[in-house]
Amino acid sequence: NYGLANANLEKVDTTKWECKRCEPVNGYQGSVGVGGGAVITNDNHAANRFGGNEDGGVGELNADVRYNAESGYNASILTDRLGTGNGSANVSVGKAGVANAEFNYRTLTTWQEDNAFSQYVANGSELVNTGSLVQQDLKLERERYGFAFDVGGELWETYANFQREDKTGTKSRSVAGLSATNIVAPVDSTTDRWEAGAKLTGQNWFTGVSYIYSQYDNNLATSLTLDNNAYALANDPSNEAYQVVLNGAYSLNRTHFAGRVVSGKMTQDDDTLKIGGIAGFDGEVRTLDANFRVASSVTNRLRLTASYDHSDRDNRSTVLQGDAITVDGLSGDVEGVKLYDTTRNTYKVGASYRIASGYRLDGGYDRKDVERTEQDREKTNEDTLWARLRVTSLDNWDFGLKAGYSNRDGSKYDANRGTSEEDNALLRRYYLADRERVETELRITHTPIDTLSIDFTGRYAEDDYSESEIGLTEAKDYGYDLGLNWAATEHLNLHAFGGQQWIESAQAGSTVMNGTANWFADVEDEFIHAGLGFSYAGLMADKLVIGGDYLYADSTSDTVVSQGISVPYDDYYATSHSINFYGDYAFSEKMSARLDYMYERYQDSDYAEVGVSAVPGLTTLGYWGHNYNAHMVMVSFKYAL
Amino acid sequence: GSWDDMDPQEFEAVLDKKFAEGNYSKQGADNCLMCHRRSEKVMALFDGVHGRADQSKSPMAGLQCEACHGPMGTHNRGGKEPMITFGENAPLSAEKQNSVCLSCHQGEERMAWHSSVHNLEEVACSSCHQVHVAQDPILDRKTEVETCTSCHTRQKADMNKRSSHPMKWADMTCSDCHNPHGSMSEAALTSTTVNNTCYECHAEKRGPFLYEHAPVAEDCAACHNPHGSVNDAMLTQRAPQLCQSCHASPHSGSPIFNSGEDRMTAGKSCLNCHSQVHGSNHPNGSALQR
Repeated sequence: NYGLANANLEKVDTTKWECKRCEPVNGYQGSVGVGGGAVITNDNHAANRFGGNEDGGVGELNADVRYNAESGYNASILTDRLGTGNGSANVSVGKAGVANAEFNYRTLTTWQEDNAFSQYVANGSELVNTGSLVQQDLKLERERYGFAFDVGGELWETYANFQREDKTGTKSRSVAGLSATNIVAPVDSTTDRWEAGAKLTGQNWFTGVSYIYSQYDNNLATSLTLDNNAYALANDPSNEAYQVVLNGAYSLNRTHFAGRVVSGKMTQDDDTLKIGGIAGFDGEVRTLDANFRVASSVTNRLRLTASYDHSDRDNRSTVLQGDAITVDGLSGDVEGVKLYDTTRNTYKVGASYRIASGYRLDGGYDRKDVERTEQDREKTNEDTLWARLRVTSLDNWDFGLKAGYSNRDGSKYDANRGTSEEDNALLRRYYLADRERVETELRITHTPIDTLSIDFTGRYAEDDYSESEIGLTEAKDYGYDLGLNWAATEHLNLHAFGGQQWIESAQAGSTVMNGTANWFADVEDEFIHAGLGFSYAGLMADKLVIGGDYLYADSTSDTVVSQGISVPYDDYYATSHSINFYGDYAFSEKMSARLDYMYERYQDSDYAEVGVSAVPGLTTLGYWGHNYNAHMVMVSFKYAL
Repeated sequence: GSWDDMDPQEFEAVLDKKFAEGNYSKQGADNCLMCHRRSEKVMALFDGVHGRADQSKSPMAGLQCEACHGPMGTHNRGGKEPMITFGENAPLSAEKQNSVCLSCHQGEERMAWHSSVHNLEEVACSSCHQVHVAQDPILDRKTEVETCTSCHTRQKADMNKRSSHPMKWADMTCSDCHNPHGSMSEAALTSTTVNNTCYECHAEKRGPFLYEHAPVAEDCAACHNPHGSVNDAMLTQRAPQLCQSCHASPHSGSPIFNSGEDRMTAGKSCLNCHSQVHGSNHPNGSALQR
């Protein structure tokens, strides 16, 4: 261990250390840049590709300005694409290890659709029926800002930070009545997060305590009103949560211990709608998490690790029953509130052994026990064994081969519990069911010459739900990734990558209550992607750098449902081609200009997207997927300080 | 240095001996810079925080170059004697390289380093970090994802699927959810649990709701793959098949053949009626319909 704590300082005499040849940079350094450009698109989904920017002009400010004072204090202003849909800014001042203050700001826009059609338009929490279809956006905007302080000394530090996020926009929801109506629902919320804490750090130990408080305020009413029904849909209730975190770590030579205990509470006491059989609800969930880790380099060849994780969710909510007994219109069941508790205990041990120089064998055993209340199965236990061989001793080759096996079972699966009496008794919910999992992975890195590296990773995993006659019965996930990096010349870099993945799952169902499986569904997901790129720095007396990237991605999911006959579902895919070219020209040491061109060809199809009234009993938002070509051009100037 | 081809064990033995002997230079950095000041890479140290003598915790305020590269010994006599060096091509083991960095960079963010996957995989700090620069590139959001996905190729693929978090253009980065130095939580998450990590940005799903959906309260990852999916909303499967993996009543368990022409599959599928899958606060919401 070459840590400073172990250094032999007996002979050091620093009285003559003047650092005359040192050249610390005081004053300003960094750069300031401004850019302008345009996005050309007829579908604002492209904004997801173009930094949140919609069709039209774009301006941005990029600053990376740092100031160092001789006293050791420094300040910085960093902005990244400030002024665009997804921009950020960060201003900080302070001296490392003494006191620091920071202010930060960022925005993020996510587009789903700009052509959702509905005759209902939100006005606050009321959906007003306009009588005719109105084109609307499905889009979320997040605006985040906050500050952070820290004050510290040689061994200690205290800190506090605050962050607020305003989230506004729309999302797609649905209101069920005699028929189902998809709606463009409003989103308007504020989430505050406070954190404060203190840390103490010694040469081989650390301890800290912190308090984290989060408050989510939904600025909308308790429920959405639609067609004079004031209780059409409950909005997400405002809620609060806090956590007290206590942690510590200690190192004894080459053995390292770390532990953490987190006690938390999540509460929700929004007004309860005055309808139905429940008069009041005070939501309260207590959480307790405890984690311990130990890692020890027993010898230079052998390293051992062990960990224990405990996580408990205790739902202590109180429900005030009203006078009327409410019956669910669809199932005929009496409404019942279930308070779900979960306790997880995970134990892991592992070993890593260097067989010889460049040959390492790793292995481990994990055990995960979960206990639940109010569910079909009270306990599940999962045992996992894994091993891996890594070979790095060969000149131009690295190999890693990993294999794992895990088995999940548990207490009696009580399919006839109150929770599921309406379900087929042969159903095994996939997250509770017995499951055997086999996984393998092979990684190969080949570097035939110093400047070229080729990586291959292949994977195969299979889940078998052997006791599940109804539900998910089997799933396979396999594929490969390839990568190539080549520094062809001093000026030219080339890279290429790609891969494919297949996820195949099989499930079974029955049309007869408690009958054996008589229909089957097979879902085949396939993903393929490929990209290549270059950068070349040798043009115009090395003043011009050009580069480009191309990426192709294709997601497909095919579903076939069979009951005697096999019926494939309609198309469900998303395909994109993305191109990015840039040229960066240095006029002088201080001044440079950059031109960026981005292009996206995007097309997707979804059988579920149908006309507003195409299906009886259902009103959709009537959008039809995306199919567009979009362009973005940006010109920017940068000035180095 | 000329020791690049030295046998790693011999190299380490020499360094161990030098470190124990503690023969530091007479003039500190001035000794080193007598030869090394001609290197731009070396001098770039002074652009960044590690080169500042005015900050008490900076190596320049202490043993200067030798704080990280170890005591000079007789290295200045022709440069034949090895020094502690960093990087992928350094003959020194990752554990020894990292012991230098870790002697100052301790504390909460790295408290689980020793049990972290990156440590067990013998990843050196210098595989991701640079010291002789004004600003370490990995700390720039724009370069972070690229560095992580150079090894995590599955995740590189996932973020280009039909739905994913906005990772492709660094609007979100890996470290928004994961601590690359390891954490006390599973998958090196920055928050206590999977769900707690999700609630950091999706607090509206935290509840607790009057009517909860059991797998939602237990594990968001039961239905969602946060790295990306060929399905919308990062779902591992889409409705109705996802729902039918757990619900098999006469109402929910029937085979549905006409994909786009049935109100059980078109629009929002099962969610046309059961739209409150993340929990409902409606007194009549036990079927997560309101």
